Amino acid sequence: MEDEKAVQFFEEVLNKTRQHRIRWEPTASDSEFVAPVGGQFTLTLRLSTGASWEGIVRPELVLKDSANREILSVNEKTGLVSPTDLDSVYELARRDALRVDEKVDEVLGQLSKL
Amino acid sequence: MGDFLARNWGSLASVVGLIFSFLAYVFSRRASKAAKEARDLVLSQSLGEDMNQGNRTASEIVTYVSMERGDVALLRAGELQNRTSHILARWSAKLSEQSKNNLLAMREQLRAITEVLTKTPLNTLGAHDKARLAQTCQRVNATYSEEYGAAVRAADRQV
Repeated sequence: MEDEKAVQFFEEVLNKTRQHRIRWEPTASDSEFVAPVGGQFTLTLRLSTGASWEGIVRPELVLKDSANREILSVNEKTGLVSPTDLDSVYELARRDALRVDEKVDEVLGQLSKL
Repeated sequence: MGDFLARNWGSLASVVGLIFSFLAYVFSRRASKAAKEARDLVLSQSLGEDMNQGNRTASEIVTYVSMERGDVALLRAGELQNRTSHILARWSAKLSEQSKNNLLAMREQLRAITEVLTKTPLNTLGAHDKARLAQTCQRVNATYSEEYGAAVRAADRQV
């Protein structure tokens, strides 16, 4: 049951990130992005060596409550979601936070003038 | 004299009672004034005041990072993280969802700032990392300024 909830939570974050409905922000760390949700929770996506069995750097999604308690964490170690989906949500959040698409459009506009 | 007292003790007791009543009234007024002053002091620690103090600390972090005083910036970032938690807990009922989202995001931003400052001394950070840190501190400061403005505006509406 708890696993089902965690999977449901992850899939919802992935879907809403795909739809650009989550306000991902860059942080002082280049491998970490945060987003507040509903005035009560924060989502953090970060690359962590503790997020995989092999000790290699993998994405991890962390949910915190308003009291700053870490209440849920989804990573490769939990085995609940595929590493591909973890990579996808991290990359989508990174692109949103850094406004990659907007900047690429801008570059394309500039390139078209050349 | 004894005869006078014997004849008028009732009237004299009334006068003494009146004096004591007046003194009690004076002292109760003073106590009431002191209580009002204490209450005003507590109320002055309002949401606006909390936001103002947060805004000042955020501004100090920007300054210390630009001066490469990582040790002091780290202290201030820790303080501001705690203040942000305090504001979220104390003023939860008064804050809009947008403000709460801003504060929650700022608390996470400050945690990331403290992690970066703890891991690497500021003067050894690479140019890109330093720029990203400075930008994040600026963003926290700008958001605190906006939240301070919103709190003052809300207080003005109540007057």
